[in-house]
Amino acid sequence: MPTTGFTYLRPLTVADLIRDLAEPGAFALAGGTDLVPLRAAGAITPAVLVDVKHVAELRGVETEGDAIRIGAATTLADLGERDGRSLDAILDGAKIVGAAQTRERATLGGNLCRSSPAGDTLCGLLVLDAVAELQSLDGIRHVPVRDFFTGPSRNVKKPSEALVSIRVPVREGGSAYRRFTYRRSMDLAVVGVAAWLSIEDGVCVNAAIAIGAVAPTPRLVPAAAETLVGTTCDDEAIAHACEHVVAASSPIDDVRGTRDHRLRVLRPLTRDTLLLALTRALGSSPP
Amino acid sequence: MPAEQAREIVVGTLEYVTDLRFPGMLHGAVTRSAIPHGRIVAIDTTKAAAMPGVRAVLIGADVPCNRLGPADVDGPVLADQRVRQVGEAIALVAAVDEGTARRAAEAVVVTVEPLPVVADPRTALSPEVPKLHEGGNLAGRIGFASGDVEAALAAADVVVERVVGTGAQEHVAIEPPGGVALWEAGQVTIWCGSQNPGLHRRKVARALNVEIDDVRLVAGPVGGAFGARNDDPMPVFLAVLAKAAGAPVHMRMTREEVMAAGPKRHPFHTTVRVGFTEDGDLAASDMTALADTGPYVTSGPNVLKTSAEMSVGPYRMPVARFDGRVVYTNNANAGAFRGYGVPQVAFALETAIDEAAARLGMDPVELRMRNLLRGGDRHGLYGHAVTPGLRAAETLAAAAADEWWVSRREWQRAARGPWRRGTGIAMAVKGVGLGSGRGDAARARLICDINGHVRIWAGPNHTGQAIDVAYRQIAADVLGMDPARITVTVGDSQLVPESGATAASRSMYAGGSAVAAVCERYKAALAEAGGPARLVELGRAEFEATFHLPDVADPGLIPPKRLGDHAPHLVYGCSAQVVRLEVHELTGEIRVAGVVCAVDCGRAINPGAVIGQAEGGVAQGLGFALMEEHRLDGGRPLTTSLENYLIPTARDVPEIRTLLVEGDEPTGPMGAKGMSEVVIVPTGPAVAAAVADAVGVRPARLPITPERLLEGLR
Repeated sequence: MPTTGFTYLRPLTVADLIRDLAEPGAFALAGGTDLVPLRAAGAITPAVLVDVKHVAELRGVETEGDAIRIGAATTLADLGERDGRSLDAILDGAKIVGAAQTRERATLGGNLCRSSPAGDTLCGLLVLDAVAELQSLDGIRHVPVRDFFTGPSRNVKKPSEALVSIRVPVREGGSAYRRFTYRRSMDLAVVGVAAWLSIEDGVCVNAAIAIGAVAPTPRLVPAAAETLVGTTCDDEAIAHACEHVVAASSPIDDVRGTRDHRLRVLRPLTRDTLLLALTRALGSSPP
Repeated sequence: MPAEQAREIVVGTLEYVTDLRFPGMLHGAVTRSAIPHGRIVAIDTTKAAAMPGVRAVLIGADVPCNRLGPADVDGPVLADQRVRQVGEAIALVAAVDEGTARRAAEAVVVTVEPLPVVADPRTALSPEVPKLHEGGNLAGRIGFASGDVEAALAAADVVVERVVGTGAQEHVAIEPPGGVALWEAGQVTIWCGSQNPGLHRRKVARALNVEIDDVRLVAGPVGGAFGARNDDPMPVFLAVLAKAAGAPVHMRMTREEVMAAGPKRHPFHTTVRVGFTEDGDLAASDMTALADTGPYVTSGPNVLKTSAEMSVGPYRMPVARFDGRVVYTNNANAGAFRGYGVPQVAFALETAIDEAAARLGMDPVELRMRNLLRGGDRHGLYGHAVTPGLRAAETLAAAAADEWWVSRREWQRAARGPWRRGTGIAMAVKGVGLGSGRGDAARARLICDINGHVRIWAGPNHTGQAIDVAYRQIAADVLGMDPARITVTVGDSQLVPESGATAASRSMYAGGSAVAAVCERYKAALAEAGGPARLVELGRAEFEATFHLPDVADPGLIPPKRLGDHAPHLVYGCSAQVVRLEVHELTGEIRVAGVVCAVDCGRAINPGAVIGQAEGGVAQGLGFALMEEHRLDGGRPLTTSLENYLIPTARDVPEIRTLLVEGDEPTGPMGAKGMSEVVIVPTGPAVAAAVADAVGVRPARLPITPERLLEGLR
């Protein structure tokens, strides 16, 4: 139950945004799909809410050199309508978060800053090697998403820092994200897997695999990806990768699912995700 | 005809009772128990009462009669000596705004000495388990045998035994309980959703120690009920607070409060043995059921009564036995819920019959068909004659004629990859009304004006099923009038004569019959007097009629003195359902591809509303079958919100083909009978049969979660 009021600020420039976020007790408000219920439940008590949605630099998707720049406050609905093959694993996740109403408000930056182990866009950001641009009065720093998470709902971003954009390098290859849930929409991932595969002449030359909701943070499994490099991603190679994925996971029992079941699901889900990424890498239409 | 206010409901402009505002209105909140069982040592309200804006803080001692019913086991309005459930109400607060009220409710300091928790209903009756009430932990028991079951089972060629369980389902009505109460000149008016305005008036009158005529309940509009608004204490909370605060009080429960403190479907542990001859004729059934009602009695024993009667399904059963117990625990209080004890026992019986079909090498439709009751046959347990309007065989035949059943082998063969495919069928029966010996009645009042415009006040209340439209259609039909010239009002206890609960599949049957009866009276008087103006002139423009639900003419094996203890029905409705689905053999996911719902509804007065009820029943039945379960650990709820208690979304509910098997119920209005409960019953066993068809393992527990399914496969 919220016990205090708060100040609402609506900066229009990045300069104002980082100045506002420097205020004590400031929280960045993007879509509010997590912040509002967390505040209502008394889990957070923001003194200042800094609405980031009206800063132009935080909106939209653009190609900048060899990367795609996604404004941190770009909504998942906006992303979901795009057809960017090099973003597939992120878009797969963006399209299935919550319901249509949630996606109209929720933002990619919000999903990243929330840093839920089950966040549906986070495994995609990991396998596509995305980099977060953080700005504060102290300057700018670029943090690869693989170094971003420090624990469940925890990350390296300081409260005074604004997540301005997320850059995803443009690379060859195909990517995908799949999740297991108990119902077919409006659910949180019980297990999530993303994969990126780069294929040349039928042979995998580079790969990345990330897992969600089965470890304290979304995380890459480099050992699993390595087993695929140099193979044709045949059944045997995929089976090896799946073993590494299972070995790298440390799921818990909670109200959403049991450890045992998460482990059982992880293998077929990894396989499905790899096959979808492979199909996309080979350029044929996905099944 | 569309529902009254259909547009307002859909676009969200309908004013619900929680939207009401009064000048000087206060807001209420509840202090609730955080632990499942304990002795209350002290309740300190000083800090809460001293908070700015707080106008009243009430504890049990402040309630004139601190009881929700006539007996101790009905529970207190506010717990004052012991708490027996997480979420149980301990104090009420009224304050100038909702935030202040909730903070003050949290500021009430309750000192509780924890007591051992009774969490497992299977051991609740053991002598070493603490007693939750003076009389022990047995809330009710019902046993009946129509003959020597052991001998019949011993003589049977095939006996199938099943040990099954079903979970606690939450109603998840879209509107959490809430409303407004106003205390004025010794009388209280409460605007609060209710399935049973009469019962709620009695509860309020008892708690406040006032006459029942001093309590007015305006029970709607209601945003869904499904049984949850039958025992709901909200009208009592509102009335007690309004009187103490001397001002209008507004209150609404949060979803989290509903999840913890609201009623649930009774979880059951059920064992059944069903015997057959080698030709597939039923020889006997023997069922034992254990139901967990939580800390207070609410509907427990009545639910079990329905379980007993429906434990033999719509089948001829040469010999049958039922032995059921309902016990107290510190789990969530269970109450009335659509289906009322039938989905639990039908899951046991129907999956046993499905297994028997497999063992006998018979088609599950053929096996059922040769054992089904025909209209006028004698009931399988109690031996009374059932309505000639029962159309069980036609209902099963309609479902089985659907292409989804006919083409089930093609569906199965087309399975690809890890997705296995299966199809299942199941059947159910449910009585209409409270049953014989219960004095069940509904009433209607009619007034005409000089222009012949007719106003009707009728019950049972409308709780989302648009029963008021059906009343209007019946009146228009009887009177041969344009429905636009007829107004129907439901739900206001000051205007509507006592008509009982919107429950037991009785609203259309009982309320509709009362409306038809009052219209017949008016019509006769009209013919005699020569016109509405003349009736008004004569002062004879007001009419009232009572419809008494018929008891069974011949109670069969039930001793006439004990008729009300078993409450057998004369009128039953049936449903047969086909479910086709896919099962992922590696992850345990189940995707339902389609459901056929054939329903024996008598005459469908408003086919659109009947289809809506059928589809809603199937969707809720799919939730019960696949994902819905209120889970607790040592009496502490684990499923605390709609984030972790999952119900099906639109994407989880497949195409539903509703087949109306119309007929003529001779005792019903225009031949209609109730159907909104029976449609939830076959879904669970039909899903289980489809899963067995797909992967060869018959689930023993609902919901069939992916975890449980994979454990069964290993």
